[in-house]
Amino acid sequence: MFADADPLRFVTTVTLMPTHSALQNRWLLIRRVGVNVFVAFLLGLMCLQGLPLNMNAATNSAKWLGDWLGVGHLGWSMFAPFPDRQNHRVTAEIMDSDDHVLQTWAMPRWPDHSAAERFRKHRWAEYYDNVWMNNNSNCWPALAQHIVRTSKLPRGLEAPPRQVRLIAETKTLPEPKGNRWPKPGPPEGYDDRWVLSIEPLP
Amino acid sequence: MSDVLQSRTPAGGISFWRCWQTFAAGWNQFLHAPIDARRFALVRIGFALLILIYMAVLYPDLEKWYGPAGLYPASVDAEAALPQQWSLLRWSPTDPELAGIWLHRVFWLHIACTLMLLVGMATRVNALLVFVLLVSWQNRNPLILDGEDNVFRLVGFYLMLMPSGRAWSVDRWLFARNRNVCPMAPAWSLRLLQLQMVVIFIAAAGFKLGGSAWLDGTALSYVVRLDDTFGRFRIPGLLFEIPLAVRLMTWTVVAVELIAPLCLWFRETRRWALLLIVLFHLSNEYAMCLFLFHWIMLVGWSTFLTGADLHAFRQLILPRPGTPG
Repeated sequence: MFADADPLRFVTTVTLMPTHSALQNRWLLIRRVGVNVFVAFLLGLMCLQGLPLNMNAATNSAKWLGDWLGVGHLGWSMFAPFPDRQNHRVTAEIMDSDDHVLQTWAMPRWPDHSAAERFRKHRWAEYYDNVWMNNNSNCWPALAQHIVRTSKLPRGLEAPPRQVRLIAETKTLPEPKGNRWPKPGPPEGYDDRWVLSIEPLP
Repeated sequence: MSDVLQSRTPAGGISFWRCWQTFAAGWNQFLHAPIDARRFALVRIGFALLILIYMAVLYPDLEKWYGPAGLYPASVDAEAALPQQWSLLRWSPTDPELAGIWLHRVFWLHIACTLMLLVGMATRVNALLVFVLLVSWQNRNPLILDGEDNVFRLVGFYLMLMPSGRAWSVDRWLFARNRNVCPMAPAWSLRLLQLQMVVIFIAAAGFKLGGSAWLDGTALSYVVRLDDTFGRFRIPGLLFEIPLAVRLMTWTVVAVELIAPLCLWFRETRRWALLLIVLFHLSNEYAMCLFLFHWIMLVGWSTFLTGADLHAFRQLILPRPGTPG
């Protein structure tokens, strides 16, 4: 008996009910076989998609099938094999010409926000965590427009904003060494900065 | 052990047929034995409540995340989406104003279905609709997703397969012939979710064992300095400056992920393992900002609570006069 099974009756094989007709018993049997095949299929999918098996072709096929079923994913690597060793932020400069900055913008600094606010803004944290990557560059024009829309530009501008310079900044977390390791919490400042793109505004 | 001994032929060899019979009996017992249907209902209620919170957080930015001219525009989606990553939201009108109205209608439909799932009204149909809509939101904008969204989809998928309306539901209230009998249902759909939870933890431990930072015990020192996930509430900073303490905590994470899911399957260790898992998730929830990840995991782990556990909880909360405890 399994550890969490309820101490009631168990069906170890398909119980052929004497009160049922032969047809009903056959249906019970077919249903049981169907469920067993389906369970075996889902177990295979679960293991191939989730476990670190190093079987790329099988994992990719499982992911493809999983996607059709709505349960495709890329494994359960949670902070593994290496946790991120870098903090980053996205900033921007709203410009009216190639060399004149009207206003600067930066994504929220999450440690300054309350727990409730971070919970409420969770999707934004995920968005900024992903959008700066090069493979998402096709989302940068929409980000640039969003930045201009949400920035409080000074009134009475001589020229309207023409472009947005998107900038990425990163801070590499120092390796823990010696008898005293770094304190929890993100270190101050950023040690690398580069222009992701200059997005013209429509 | 006795099963293996029984599988031996009189000559002392192992009979394939007897082994197969033993396996088949175990498989049938594991998957098809009837269990207390309140265990399915517990998953249903937990999942529906979390979906309501999940959707409430999306609502203020619905058009920004899913509108044709939002931060993940329809043109980008059309370019990036794979054919198998289906979404009903792709049927949205192209005109931004009409699309906005359409999005809000789909949103409220999702909320209505979730509320009906919560109370167990037309449970199976609503479980299906909630799942289809959840996948649709997620596939339409992958830029705002993380690991917890996968867990949500998986729990939703297995919930569709569960007879979760057989207890604590309007369906039962309306249609059950004898409401005084504890409802029972075959275990297989619940077993699938249990195994899925175990796979998640074992896989997470497996991936961690492949990384030097988890092996040398420095991993948590990096995690606590990440600005987007850590720092929910105050934690004792000094603890993370002592190398031995950080190493022990790092290795504890791997040990819990590896050992606790296995201990859940043995009667003697099940409750202790469950308690350990709950403490693990709650302590992480205290320190980290991972939205609903730990809560949906706890809904998944709740499948390991038996009818006896539910009864014990009930006694704890609503003690009946004359009953011990």
